[in-house]
Amino acid sequence: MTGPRIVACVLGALALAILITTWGFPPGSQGVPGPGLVPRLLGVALLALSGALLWAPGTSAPALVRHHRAIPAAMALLVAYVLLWRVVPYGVLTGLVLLTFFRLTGLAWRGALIGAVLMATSLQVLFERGLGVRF
Amino acid sequence: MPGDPMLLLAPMLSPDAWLYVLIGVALGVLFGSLPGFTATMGLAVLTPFTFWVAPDQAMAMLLGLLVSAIFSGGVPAILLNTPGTPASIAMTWDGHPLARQGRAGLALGLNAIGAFLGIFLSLVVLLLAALPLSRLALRFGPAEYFAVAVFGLSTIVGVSGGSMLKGLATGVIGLLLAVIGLDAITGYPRFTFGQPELLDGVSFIPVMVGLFGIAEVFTQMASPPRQQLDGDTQTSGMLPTREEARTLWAHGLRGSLMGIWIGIMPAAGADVGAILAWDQSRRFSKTPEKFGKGSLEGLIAATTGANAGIGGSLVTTLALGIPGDSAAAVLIGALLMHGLQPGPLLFRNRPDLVATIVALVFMASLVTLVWGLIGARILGKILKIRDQYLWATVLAVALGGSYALNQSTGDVWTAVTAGIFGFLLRQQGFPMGPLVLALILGPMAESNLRRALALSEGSLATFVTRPISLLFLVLAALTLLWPLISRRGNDSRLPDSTIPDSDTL
Repeated sequence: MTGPRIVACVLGALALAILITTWGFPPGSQGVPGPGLVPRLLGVALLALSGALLWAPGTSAPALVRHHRAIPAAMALLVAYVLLWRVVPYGVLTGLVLLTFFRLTGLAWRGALIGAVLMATSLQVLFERGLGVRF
Repeated sequence: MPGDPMLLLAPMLSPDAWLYVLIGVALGVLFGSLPGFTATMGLAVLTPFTFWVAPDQAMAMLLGLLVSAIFSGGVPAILLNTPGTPASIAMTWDGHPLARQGRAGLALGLNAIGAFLGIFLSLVVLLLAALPLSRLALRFGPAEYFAVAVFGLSTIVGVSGGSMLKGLATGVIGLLLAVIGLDAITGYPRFTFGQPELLDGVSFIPVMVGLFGIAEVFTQMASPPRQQLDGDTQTSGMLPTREEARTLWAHGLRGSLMGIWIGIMPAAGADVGAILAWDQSRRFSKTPEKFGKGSLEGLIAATTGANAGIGGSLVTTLALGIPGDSAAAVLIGALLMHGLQPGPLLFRNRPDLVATIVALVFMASLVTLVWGLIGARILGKILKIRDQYLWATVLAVALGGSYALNQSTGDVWTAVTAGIFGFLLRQQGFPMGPLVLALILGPMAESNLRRALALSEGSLATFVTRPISLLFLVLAALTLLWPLISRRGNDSRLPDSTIPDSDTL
């Protein structure tokens, strides 16, 4: 099954879930549609579109040219970054995440270390001192 | 009225306004010059930071960024044959051949002059349109607003790139995201799953940051490495001779008018304006055989066409609240964040804001002109910055900015989720422009549909018996049916180039 067809299946399942959920929304009175009308119409539209996409999935973008492993790793890194957001101090966490990102994308240790320290420091100054953000 | 000279002059006499324009222009140069780093991405990443400044200062930065990014996109187009933004695709056709002929300086100079000329003329049109638009505002009720929103949503067909079905699907996803939260009319919670963070709905800014900042970085990482600048590229001699200038002004004027017209039409962005301006210029040229081989006429037409679209697009964006492209959608998001609702009433209730926007775009184009003429060497150096540093900067600033907005990790999760899903969907050919368009126009469409039905006691006739509403619904129908009516296909006479992706202006 091609990528666009998989997306179409996911969208179809999402549409069904929406239709089931909106079943319990209160109905509107005559002339004043209730809160379920628009989501229900959108659910039907999404279901129809997912069917059409299964029939004619079209083409997907060209396959990844580079960073095949670095991209999923960077995604996981971002998720870890947010999970640790309130646990580790912002500057330290950002520095470590940047260092890991630089190494993942092929920078040498020296450039990665200098870049991570400089950027993390600049960002901490910008957010905490400049904008008064509390992490 | 927005055309009041005093209203227009006020920002120009403010040192603060110049400072914020300069900041925006500097950022725009960075985002526009680097292939893959787009004006939309820059706007999305910068928007959360404008929360800390007044609305006019925010607009100064954002408009400065937009104007200089569209201009700067022409720099790699000329020097590397790689458009910095899709709007500068047509500039590669004559700009790069000129650079290869040793006239890179002149090509860069024409790019700067053409950008200024195009924007200036488009602002004149915006000011001329202000008076009739403010009069029209009085005749807008819920039915008209609903029809305008439907017209805006119909332009999803135009911003869907290659696949209309996929564009419609992402549009529906955007509409569904827009209904999350408390229903504006009954107060009923929809799709909140008991999470109090979702009662206010999905935050628009983090979604935008994810789709156009984070997803774009992943897309860049997956793409082939960009070309590097040749060390001995000659960038002196930036102004045309008097003889050359004499033949160029008509092409600049024609390109500007084409760009303005295309910019006014929703969903037809600066990329389309530049391509059509170039094509029209070739038809009227005495030397059409030179087009595509280093024609100064072709370059000035493409440059003015791309940049004049900015003012043209502002007409639709400000007057109707319909984003003409992804960059305009982000601008609308920024206005909404500051409590300003673009639409017919803006021209009537806030002529000072419209005048400020016009003045700021003019100031930005002036700064960009000066920068373009004296900073070409630095522009070339920007192209040598390593990708990894740029990607990391965008990711860190995007996530920090998303958090800083409400100091909520929920917004950071939204940005990361939008970034990852945005990238995965784009890899499967699903455009993101429709999603943002729908996210902005969805609430406007739904609330006005229900208000109009309540006022008419459930009669759908209200939408077709009111002339303005009917007009916009007919326009929406035509927009939706246009791809079926017109099956002209691509113009095979245009030089080969990447088909522009309307996601990334």
